[in-house]
Amino acid sequence: MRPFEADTQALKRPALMLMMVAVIAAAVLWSSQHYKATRVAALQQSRANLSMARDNYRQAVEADSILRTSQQRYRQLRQRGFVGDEPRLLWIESLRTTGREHHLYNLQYNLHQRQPVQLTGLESAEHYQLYTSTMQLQLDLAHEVDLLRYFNDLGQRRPAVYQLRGCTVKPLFGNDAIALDKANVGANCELRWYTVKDLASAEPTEDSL
Amino acid sequence: MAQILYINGQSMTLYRTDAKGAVVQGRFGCDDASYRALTEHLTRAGSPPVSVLVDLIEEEFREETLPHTLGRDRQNLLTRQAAKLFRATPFRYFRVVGRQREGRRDDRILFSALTNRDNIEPLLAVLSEAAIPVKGVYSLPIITRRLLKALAVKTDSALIVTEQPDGGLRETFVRKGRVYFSRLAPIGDGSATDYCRILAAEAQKTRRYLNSLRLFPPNQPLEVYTLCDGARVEALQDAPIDTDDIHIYPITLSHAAQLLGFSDHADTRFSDALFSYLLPKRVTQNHYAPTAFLRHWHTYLAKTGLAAAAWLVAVGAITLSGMNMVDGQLLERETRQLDQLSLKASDDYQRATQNLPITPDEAVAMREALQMADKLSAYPADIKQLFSLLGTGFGNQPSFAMDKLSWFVTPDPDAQAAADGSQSKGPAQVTEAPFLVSNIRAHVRGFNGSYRQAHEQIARMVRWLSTQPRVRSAKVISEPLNTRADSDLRGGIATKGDRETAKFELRIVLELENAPV
Repeated sequence: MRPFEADTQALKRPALMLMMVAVIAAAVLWSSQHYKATRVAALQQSRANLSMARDNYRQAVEADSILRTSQQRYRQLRQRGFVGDEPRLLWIESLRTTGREHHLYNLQYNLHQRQPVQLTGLESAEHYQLYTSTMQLQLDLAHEVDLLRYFNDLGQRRPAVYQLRGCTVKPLFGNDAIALDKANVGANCELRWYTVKDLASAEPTEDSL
Repeated sequence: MAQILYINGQSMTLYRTDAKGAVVQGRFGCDDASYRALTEHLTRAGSPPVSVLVDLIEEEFREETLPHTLGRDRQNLLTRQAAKLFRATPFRYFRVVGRQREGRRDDRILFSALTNRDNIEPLLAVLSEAAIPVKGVYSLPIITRRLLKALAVKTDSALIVTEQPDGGLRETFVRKGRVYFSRLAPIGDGSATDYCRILAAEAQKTRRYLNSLRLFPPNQPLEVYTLCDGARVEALQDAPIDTDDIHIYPITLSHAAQLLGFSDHADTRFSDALFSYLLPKRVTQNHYAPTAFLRHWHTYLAKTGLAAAAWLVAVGAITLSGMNMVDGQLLERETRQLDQLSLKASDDYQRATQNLPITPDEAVAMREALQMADKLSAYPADIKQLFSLLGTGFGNQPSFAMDKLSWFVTPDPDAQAAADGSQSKGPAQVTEAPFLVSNIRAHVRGFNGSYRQAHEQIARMVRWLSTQPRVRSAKVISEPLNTRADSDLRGGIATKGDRETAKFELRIVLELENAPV
């Protein structure tokens, strides 16, 4: 004797009803969940759109401000050859012209090939790659003050963005007296010329290879 | 709300009970025609589940001892034993009432059965045929213990006496809250005085029987609680029938019913309504009905469960769906508001960019180029200051002649040489260099051999240099005569014509000005 006997025939209808209710309930629930999920997705999209629109507006306002404050300087930098390909011709001409004006007895230069560099504090630059070209400069001068004047004039000429990194100055007259008609001082200097190039057109660096 | 069918072998009474009492729905005989009438009555009422409460003479109680077992073994053992004791009837019931205190500590089991199956089986068959759910067949003596709360019995053992319709005196022996024995004695429909006499005689008879079964000690008075109407209670109080062996405690049935929650019980001597009321007050497992007769009840339960599950599923789904829909509506409203804000921000953007000659991204690139140029142009090497400093310094000491000047810019004021940044892996780092470090090699012109004087002049010059603006440090790297104790010292007096030299080296660190060109 089984402890629980029931009329299975009589239970068919309520069981079927339960199944139907369960199916309908599942369908209704799924539909409502789908509706809610759609609304959530739409809301997230709207939030993203709003965020993007506000960012765009903020950038536009910022761009206007940048233009007003920096456009003139940027043009000057472009003219000085800071942006784009290296204006080596301009650099050499500037050096030579300044040298001739100061009646240097000798001017020798050695410009090395361009190298990509990173500027401390601006490692995450998004638009430009910075390059540097190191130049060794040898000058024979009548007096050490001529060195000062030479670099002062070179700076005034503003041929490009460069840094004078260091110099070694030696007298050339030895034990003789200073002569007015020949070089008395020799100077070896190091200059670094800088340029930036649009990252899209920049040559790949060793890191990126 | 419950339907209780009370049966005493001669008649049936259908009660409908609720929390406050029991109401008679119909009275029926115990024959086939009455069974059909009952069935029709119940069918008309929608075939509600019925509990059958039996109060029959042919109900037998036996206490047996069996080895102590547990679980399914116990169930099987007791079922077999019940079948062995009551072979002629399937209406059997057993209950463990305790364990022996000595020996094997066997279980003490109270077996009971409706020994005449004809009293109940035809009725159950008819009800089953009509698909009326029978919740169970319940023994009135077994539920008698539920009266104890109202009787306030003070002793362990008591005999509870109730009168049933159709002339029956039910005597149920209860010990420590458990029913051990019950008998139904037929009595006539007599007066209150007759009742007193019959009660005394029946109590004595039952006491002797209990003594013979060793259920009650012979040297102890038996407490008899009798439930009857007011007239019989008065008669019992007026003509006490107590003896040394029997102590009678008459209680008005309606009063006891009120104590048990049956508020409007009539002042009657018959207690079937009260028992019908008490049966559904607690969940009670079926006593006697075999499973086959409970089939429709089980079906009813399963149907109810399925219907309840369907309702729960439907209500749950509707509730959750409703919540989802409300959430969706709220989200939709928020989305619309955000879209309006986006539209406004886009309009603002359009207005802000319509006169811009370049895109915002190009402007940011422009700023980046300017930042780079500014950083690179910061701290230009101020050789004018260096030359001015050295010119004045050496001018103050005309005996000093410079042999070599070297300088470099560096981010580290203690650096010994210019860093080229090529040691790092990947693109070299360019760092702002706010210090200009210079090394000057010089000698004392026309040195007269007085190192002390030369050292003093050099020290004076270094002191002067140290006090000049933007000079971070000025120190002597080497002196004409190295007098330090941790190095060798070699020299002598020069011969005529030779000139002693006094060479020295200085290091000056300048702080450069942050002034972009």
